[in-house]
Amino acid sequence: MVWAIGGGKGGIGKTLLTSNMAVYLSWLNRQVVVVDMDLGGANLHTALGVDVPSKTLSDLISGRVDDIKDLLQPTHVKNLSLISGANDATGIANMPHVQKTRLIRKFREIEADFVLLDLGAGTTNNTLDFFLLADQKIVVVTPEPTSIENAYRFIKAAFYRMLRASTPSPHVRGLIEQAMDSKNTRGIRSPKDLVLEVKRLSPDEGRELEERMKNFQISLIVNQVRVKAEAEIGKNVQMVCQRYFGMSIEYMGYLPYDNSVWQSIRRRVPFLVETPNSTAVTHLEEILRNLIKSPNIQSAK
Amino acid sequence: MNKDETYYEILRVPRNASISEIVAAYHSSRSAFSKDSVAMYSLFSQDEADKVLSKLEEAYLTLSNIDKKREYDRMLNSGESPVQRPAPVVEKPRAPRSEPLPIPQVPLEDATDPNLTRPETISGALLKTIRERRSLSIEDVARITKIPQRFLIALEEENTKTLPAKVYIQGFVKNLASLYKLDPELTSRHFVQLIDSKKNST
Repeated sequence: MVWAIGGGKGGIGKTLLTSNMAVYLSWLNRQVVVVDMDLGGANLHTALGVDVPSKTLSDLISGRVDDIKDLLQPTHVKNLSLISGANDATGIANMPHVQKTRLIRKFREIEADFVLLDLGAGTTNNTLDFFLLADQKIVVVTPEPTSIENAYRFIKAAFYRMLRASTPSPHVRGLIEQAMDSKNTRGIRSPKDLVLEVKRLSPDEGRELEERMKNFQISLIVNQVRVKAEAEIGKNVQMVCQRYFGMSIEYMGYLPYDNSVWQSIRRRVPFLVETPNSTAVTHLEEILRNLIKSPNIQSAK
Repeated sequence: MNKDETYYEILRVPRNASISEIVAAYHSSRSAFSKDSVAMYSLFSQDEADKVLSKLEEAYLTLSNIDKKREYDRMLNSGESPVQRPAPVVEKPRAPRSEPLPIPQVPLEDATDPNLTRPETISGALLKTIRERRSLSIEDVARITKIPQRFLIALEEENTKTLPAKVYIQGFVKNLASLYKLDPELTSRHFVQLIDSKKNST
């Protein structure tokens, strides 16, 4: 089961969330591997309080290492191991698609119950592709407009990329590519406009496109909620996305802003370990419960 | 939003949705597109959001009014193109019954302030909204109040078939009102009246 955690904006807590979700799952006696895919800002090892592994994904990609299991670095938490991204940024950055699918397959071959990918910030094609290949696609936001804006940018990019990749017809693919360019001259300003354009071309393909949009499933987590009203943001984003994209986002829950989390970061200890009784933990449990039983989980590709 | 969308599709409720489900759906959607909603930032301009809001309101005003809803459903069923503004329905004289649920005058964020939640506006949907704003599930409330889950659900749905005898409803709603910081006495009295008039009109 591969979970990808993304969201576009940096500094909103993806790494912290990934590492603590991984710790919690390990405590449930599951075998968990966390993978740091954040090339420019690999922090997962710091969040877990371990050194950078000596062998990273670039060693696997370059062929210096054959078996992905050789990249596994144990952590202080039983059942939890870490794989780090490349030390050299070009290693993963220019991966052809076939190599990405191969890598995801290798993640699944690790015999872990859960493989959590910390995708890091940004909306590069790499980030998007690993996001799209995962069984459970998780987007993290905070209640700030900057984070929301970046998250929508990320979701839009992933959404159109998914649509284009799964469309056989070159005409429709062309329209999708135009939709990806917000300044396109066809006037396609939203997925709904795109569907109308495609239906004009071919009603069947338009309906088919709508169906694929509806089946695109993402899970949403809201982090750093400070006031009660902000807890509503998850449901509101869900509704806005439903109307704009015609797709369903499943809202998994939120984590309250916790003033003591910075201390656990300083000490390089997951907050679950540092403050196991904090309210953040109850919320995390709820989020994980929802993630595990979610129908969003797509079958392994 | 397409011109072809029915009011049910606009509110994202099924055709057999209860009035309380319709009310709840309206309020949730409305808050997502309200002026201060950060959730629509960068996807919807305020103008676009206002268009969504006015469609939502139009849908709600029809579907939350039993007579207008009936007429609208008839039009949908007969395949008539549902006019987005249905012609005014002639009100037949009938025995006094409870008014259709009004658009709450209070911002629901303040629903837990007893000074602002007027007991006479109490409804199943409002109970549900208050519960959700407190991030409580049905299980949570059942655990706290010891009210069985099926009755909590029935209260929120105003499901006259499943609800128990009046004396129990009174007790349950008083209990819930205390939990939600509403006036227990007045709230339970108005809620029982609501259920009574629903029973009388069916």
